[in-house]
Amino acid sequence: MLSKLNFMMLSILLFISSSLNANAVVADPYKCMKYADIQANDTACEVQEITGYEYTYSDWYADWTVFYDACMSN
Amino acid sequence: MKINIIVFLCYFITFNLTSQTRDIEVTYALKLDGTKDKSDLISAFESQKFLLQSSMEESLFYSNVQMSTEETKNDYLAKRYSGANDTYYCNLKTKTGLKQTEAFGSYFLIDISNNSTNWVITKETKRISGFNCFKANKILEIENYKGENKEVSITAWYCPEINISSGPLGYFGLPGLILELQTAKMIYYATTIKINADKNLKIEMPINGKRVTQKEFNSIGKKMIENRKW
Repeated sequence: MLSKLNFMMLSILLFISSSLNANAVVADPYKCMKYADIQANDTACEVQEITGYEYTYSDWYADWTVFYDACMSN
Repeated sequence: MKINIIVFLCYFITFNLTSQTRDIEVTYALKLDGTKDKSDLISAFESQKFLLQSSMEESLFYSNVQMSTEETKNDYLAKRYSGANDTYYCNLKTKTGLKQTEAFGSYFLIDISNNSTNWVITKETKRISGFNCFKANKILEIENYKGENKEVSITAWYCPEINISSGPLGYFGLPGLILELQTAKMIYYATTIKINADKNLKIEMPINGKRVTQKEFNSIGKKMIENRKW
């Protein structure tokens, strides 16, 4: 009876531990790239609407990098 | 005889005015045209300040806002797209200009010499800070990040009374100092003008960075986007 209880406790602990580890896994680069693409496009539209500024390749890439890095570090 | 005296006086006054200006230091603020609601992003843009230092030969234009320790997304965007992250150098004698910018992890010196050319001077005038200014326009062609060629309208209000042919954002080459410059919806306007304030004004050309043309810089950016980490 005691060994059965111990086994159950151990199983629960292992489950919690594996769940915690899953959260600590590094962000998915593919998802972050998609996220950065959307954010960079939205930002370019927002800035252009307010300022009339035409984004160049380097502008879009700079914003994209900021969003991508932020996503990967979360 | 009378006419001769008047002509001489006009020449003397003009000569005196133009010969007096040796150097200038102008502070510019930024406002956005056609914006009624003040969002945080608009406020961030309109809190940018710039300094133009210029002698008769050279000029330097850069941000005059102190670095904040906590930078928000709006601060980042306002600094980046108002030109506050860049330094603009112009040689007024050789009519050459450089924009020093940081991109792709290194510095670049982009040739902006064409900022001095193709101005269309009009007869329209207005007074800015007590100076009589004339309007000039030019069209700048830009390749945007989608690969489309776009035309951006630039309007400058220059002051012939201050005979230094420099201005904000590396725009120069007009017969007088630019006191107001509008590029798309962004208006850079002079708030303080100091004439001959610094006897020891020394302007140093930025040297840190790879020299490229705008076309070469665009090409690097295009490749960086194509080769991003897929």
